[in-house]
Amino acid sequence: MSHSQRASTVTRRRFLTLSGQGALLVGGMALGAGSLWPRWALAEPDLAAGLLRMGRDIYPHDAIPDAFYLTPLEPLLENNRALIADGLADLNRRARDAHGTDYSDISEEADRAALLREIEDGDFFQTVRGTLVVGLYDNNELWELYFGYEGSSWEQGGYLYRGFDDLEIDWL
Amino acid sequence: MATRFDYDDDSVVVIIGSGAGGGTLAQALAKKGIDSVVLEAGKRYQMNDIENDEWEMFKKISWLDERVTAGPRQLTETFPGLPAWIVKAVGGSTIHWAGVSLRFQPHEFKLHSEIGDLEGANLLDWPISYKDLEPYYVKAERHMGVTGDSTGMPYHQWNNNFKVLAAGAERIGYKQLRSGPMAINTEEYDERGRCMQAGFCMQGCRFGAKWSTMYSDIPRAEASGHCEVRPRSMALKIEHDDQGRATAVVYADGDGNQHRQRARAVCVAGNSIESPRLLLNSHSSMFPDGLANSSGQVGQNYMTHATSCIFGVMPKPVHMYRGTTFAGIISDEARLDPSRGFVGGYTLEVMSLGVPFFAKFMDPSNAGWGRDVTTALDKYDHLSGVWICGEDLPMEQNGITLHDTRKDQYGLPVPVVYKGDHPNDAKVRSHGQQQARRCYEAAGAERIFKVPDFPTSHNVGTNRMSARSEDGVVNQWGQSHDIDNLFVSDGSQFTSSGAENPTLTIVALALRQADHIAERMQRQEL
Repeated sequence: MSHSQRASTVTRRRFLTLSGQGALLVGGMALGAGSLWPRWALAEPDLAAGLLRMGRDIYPHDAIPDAFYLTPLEPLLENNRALIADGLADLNRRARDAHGTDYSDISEEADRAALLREIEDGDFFQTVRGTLVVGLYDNNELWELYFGYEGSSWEQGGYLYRGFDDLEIDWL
Repeated sequence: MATRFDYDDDSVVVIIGSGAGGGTLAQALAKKGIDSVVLEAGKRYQMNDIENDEWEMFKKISWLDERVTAGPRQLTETFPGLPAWIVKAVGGSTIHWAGVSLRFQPHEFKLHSEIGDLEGANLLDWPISYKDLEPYYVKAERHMGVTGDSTGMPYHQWNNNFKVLAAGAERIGYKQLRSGPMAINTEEYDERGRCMQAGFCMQGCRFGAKWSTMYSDIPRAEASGHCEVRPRSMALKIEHDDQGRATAVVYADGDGNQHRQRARAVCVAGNSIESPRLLLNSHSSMFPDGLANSSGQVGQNYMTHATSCIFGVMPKPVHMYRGTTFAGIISDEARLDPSRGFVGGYTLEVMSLGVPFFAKFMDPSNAGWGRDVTTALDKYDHLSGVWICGEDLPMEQNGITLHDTRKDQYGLPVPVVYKGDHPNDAKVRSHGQQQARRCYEAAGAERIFKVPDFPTSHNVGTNRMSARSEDGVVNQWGQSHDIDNLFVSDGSQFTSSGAENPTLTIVALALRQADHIAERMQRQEL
């Protein structure tokens, strides 16, 4: 109990420092949402925060809540912990050399992205990215709201009577 | 009760593979009363296994056995273990295919005669002409239910995605814009229903409106009593006798047990990676370089089409995913016209991807992340896409070889799939990209970007047809030059790639081959 309380506190503070995400996190899941946290995120808040920041920098969609980034990344920390922990440690070293702070605390997205460019050919980066490219975009909860994609259609008889040819090109 | 043939029954034709080549051949032979056993490496799926879900279907039906991507191309880095995007299931890649059913153009059967030698290309005319194949194109179109003259089925209504591309194409002067021919029913045809414009053509058609041997040829062949399909049966080796005639196929069943099916004739239709691989793996003391390989051409001349995609972000939502996946065709650049700086032509085909695959394939390189990618995804519903299907020239060094050390789950050497561009291929691709961009600019796109090659679905040429035995593997009937009763029945027969999707031509060749096999059997020659 005390462990998870402490973890939540650290995590909350950490997440609230993420650039541009404060309001979203407050409204979304950072406050009073302890029960929503994956077990590993409670146990290792620094790693969780680093992974989340990285996920949001790799595939930045400002409107999509953190939970949709965190959930697919969860198995990495459970199954591939050494790669993730070492990778984040390396990233933080690079961040401190260049900016004097940990990666997650760099305020400018462009600065964080520049650091990620340095490591984009490595296993660590491509493992996180490869996990997220499926985990984030193969989530049908996000499709319609954020991308305008309707997903499976056969149950509704396809689009024959639902707008497959409804476009009026009136902008030319 | 399904027909069962005895392992020692040497009166059957053994067909390896159940897709466009093998599935068509099995049904065509069955209609003539000729018995066959179809060995299919993949499982059998039912209609309710077909989902509108890109990743689920990818995992379910793709051929994911170990392969090595090689050669100077981006796929070697981006998809090192997945050179080809084809299917391992009863029905083969006719589950996954787009339905685009273009005939080859007459000049594409004799490109070598038309243009002469070209440095670095292993050009050769087909041993058949367009005229030879034309009646079989008509038969194939009726067989598959291709919209257009052969069936009388109208073309599809233009979907939104095609409307956008066409608006731009017309403005840059293109005239040959069509929403067919497609082997996708626009009305009930051949006991299959009409297209519901559901999208997800490449994941298998849940409604059965798109032709597939999975639910047309294969069940009918089986119902005839003249065909037995054995799913989960991976052919390992074709055996022969002292006279060098094929006698049997050794295969592994789903539990790994090996069987030997005797055969009157063997027809290989495992797609252009597995077919040459099987011939190479069937080497013997009499044929140390593999079966049917006196020319040394087995596995060579691998062609994939010169391809790329261009996407445009349009001013309004397009919902490109609604309706057939490949919904329209532009043929103005398909002609042979060396004044453009290259030989061969290309077809522009409007296409779509769902969010999961768009995200995965938009830029699979290591650097393909960040705002460049996500700002395109944020406009996903505004996207329109087009795919370039360009003539790819045969080169001897492009091909399928066997890995020196790595073995698959059956103990067979893993195939190495090597492919690089001929300079002409690069010019075709680049011209196509430029023209597609012009189309989208003319259509008012706010942003235009290219998407690199996917793992290849059009794989042809690795057991090519030739008039002379020293130039290729099979003759005009798909019969191997070296072994009388050994045939190749898939796209690996192709002598050139053309600028058209291969399935219709594969089916036409299979129907023609079935006639030939039946005639020779009647004459007691087989």
